[in-house]
Parts: sequence; structure tokens; C-alpha cells
Amino acid sequence: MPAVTAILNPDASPSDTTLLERCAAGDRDALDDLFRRYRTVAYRVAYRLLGREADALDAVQDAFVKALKHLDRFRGHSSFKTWLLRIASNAALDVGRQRKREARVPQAPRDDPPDRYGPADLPAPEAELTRTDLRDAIDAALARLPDTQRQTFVLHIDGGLTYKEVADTLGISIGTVMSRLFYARQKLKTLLADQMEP
Amino acid sequence: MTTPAHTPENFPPELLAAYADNELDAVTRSRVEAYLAEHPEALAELTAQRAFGPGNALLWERAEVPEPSAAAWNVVRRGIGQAFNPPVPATTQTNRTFTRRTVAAILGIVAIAAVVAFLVVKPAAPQPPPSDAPKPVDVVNAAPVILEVAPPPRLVVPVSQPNPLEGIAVLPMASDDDVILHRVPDTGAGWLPVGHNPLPKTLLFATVEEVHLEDVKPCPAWPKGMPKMTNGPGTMPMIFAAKPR
Repeated sequence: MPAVTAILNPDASPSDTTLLERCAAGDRDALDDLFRRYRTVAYRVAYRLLGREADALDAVQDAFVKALKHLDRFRGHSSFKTWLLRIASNAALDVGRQRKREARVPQAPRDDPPDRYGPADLPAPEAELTRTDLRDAIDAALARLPDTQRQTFVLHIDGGLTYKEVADTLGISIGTVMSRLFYARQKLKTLLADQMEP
Repeated sequence: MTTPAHTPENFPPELLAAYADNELDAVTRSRVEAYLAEHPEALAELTAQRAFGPGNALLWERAEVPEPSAAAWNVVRRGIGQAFNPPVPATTQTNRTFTRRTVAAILGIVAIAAVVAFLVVKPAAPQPPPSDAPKPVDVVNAAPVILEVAPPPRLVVPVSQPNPLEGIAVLPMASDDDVILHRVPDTGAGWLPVGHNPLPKTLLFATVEEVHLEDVKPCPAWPKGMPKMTNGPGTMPMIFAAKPR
């Protein structure tokens, strides 16, 4: 009984559907609410796929714009979260591929930090890894996974999606999700063997 | 009846990932547990799967991604807003302003016309009847008389210049391909057109009846040329959507 719920709890957050309808009507506050609701999870997914804050924020912005512009393709078959994360992860992978292509072209040194996705960029093993070191190590290891494995892994871990949600998001079977996660973790175990505490 | 053998050959290893993430149904979960009981060497792989699973809160807490600043989020939020077309409410507001002006002009014209008509058809002040005038008719007892009433005089407004808009029913503004909609900043109007092209066809500027020309000097190029256009109040660009007919 949503109406009764709304009366008893006037402070209840509006549903995604309500916010999307208000967005379509030009309500900026609704867009603000939707943005605040999902910006963090979209950013975490994008960051884990890209390893750089600026690129991740670009991917988040791109994802919100595309998701809201193509709501007709969404049609409520899945949740807005999975729809957004699908676009965000694809946008992040596109940015990553573009960055790799640019990295192949010799360029003048810039002030930006070097690309962490080089062949020998894993931090040296230390007894006590700082938070940044561990994050960098995981990001670098993730960068070595195939795109499909990396996207599946990040959507599950950082996106918080279940196997079924990941399957729906990527248009694959649950068995494929299972397989990608299994082999992704096997590779991470190998790549991060020296970084992980026993 | 024998229990099916659980061998590494017929056991899909990816089930360990789903088992570690608690994503299996009860039957499959029992199957995995039976396999692990028969093959304890697989426990190492299960441990590795759990180590990089969502259940390892310690790992992911330590590897948490850095949170962007509020300023960075604001930049992203503004970027999202700027990616969309001009605010619908702003256009509506402009139309309202335009409608108000049109109504005011029409009311003004009607008022002037009413005053002129009143002055033209105003009956003369009653004069006292002359002494030799016939007696008043007994309208109660008299036979009916048919009177012909002349139509009211037609109001004619002299036009010094030919109407440059004569023969033009509707003024097209542009096609949807000719128009790029930009957000009008600092208007405080929220908007987010989603789901369809807000400019599905040619934009109609206005009908001739809706246009009121002011301070227009005669131009030899009319009607081929364009009247002089001046900005409206402020510097805000104005777009007139087609009015439903």
C-alpha cells in the first residue's frame, strides 16, 4: 500500500521510478536526488576499471547522461542501478581502451601521473601495505584481466550486484558470470600473491 | 543406488566461486560440500575465491577507492545538466510572456475600437420636442410598425502602409535541424527533456494574428526582407514553440 506508506512516513525516499518520471518532467531536484543516490556506486565501478579519479568521474558523467537520454531503452526491465552500472562500466572500458591507444603514441611528458597499467607496475611487496598501495596493487592486477572478466568482477564486487543482476546487466548467463568470476579470482590470486597478507 | 562420483573431471570449478559468494541453491550447495569433503585439496581454491569475494570486507575496506571532493561532484553534476537541451520551463515561461503580451495587445485594440465605435454610433442628446410636434403615439394600442434598423457603421482603421505580413499565414522559424538548444543559465528553471526529440518538426514562430509589430519603419525590401528585430527584455534568447491550433 504505497499511499498509506507515504502518509505514515512522509520522509520516505521516492522510488527510482518516481524520480525518473520527475526528471523527465524537468525536475532538477529529482535529478539531484537520483545523482546523489547512485553516483558513488557508479564511481566505484568506474574507478576500479580505470584506476584514476578524473577518468572515473568522466565515465560517471557520461553514464548518467546516456542513461537519462536513453531511458526509452531501459523501459524498467531491470533496475535503474543495473542499467546505470552497465553504461558506466562500458563507458569506463571505452575510456580505458582509448587511453591505451593514446599510450601507444609517444607523447611529450605531462604533469599527469603515469599510467599504472604498464607491464611492470605492480608495487613492490612490503610487509605493511598502505591503503593506497593495496588499492593500487588491486587496480593494477585488475587491469591485467580481460575486459569481460574485469567488468564482471567489478560489477559484482564494487557494484554490489548479485550473479543474476550481473547476468542481466551484461546479457550473459549466470553460468558465464560464475566462470568469469572464478577465473578472474584465480588470476588475481596469482598476481597479488606477494601483496596479500597470509 | 550409488552416489554419483565427485571427481575433478565432472565438477565445474566455477561452482567454488558461487559457493564462496553464497549464490547457489541448496541442492548445488550440497553437491559442492560433498565434493569438498572428498577433495580437501580444493579448500585452498575455495579460500582464494573467498579472499577476493565481497565477503572479505577487510580487504575491500583497505582498498577502498578515494572519495571525490564535493567540488568534483558538483562539476560532474553540472556537466550532466549541461548535456541536455534548454529548459522546458524557460520556454513555457517565454510563451506565457508572449501570450500575455498578445492578450494585452488584443484587449487594447478592442478597447480602442469600442471607444471609437461608441463615439461614431453615439445617439444625439435628447432635444425637447417642438410645440407643433405630433402627439406621442400610443404604443400600447397602436398597430405594430416594422422598423428597419441600419447596421452599425463598420470600423475602418486607416492603414498608411501595406501589411508586410499579408498573405503569410504562419511564420516558420526554423527546422529542427537548424536549431541547437542551449540551456539558458541562471534562470532557475529546471528541465530535463527525456525520451523524445523536443523538436520533432519545423518550429512555427507565430501566426500573423499573434504578431504585433512595433516601431517598424517602412522598408522597400518588404515583404521579401525581414522586419527589424529587437531583443526582448533582458538578454535572454527567446524561442517560441508552435501554438496548438
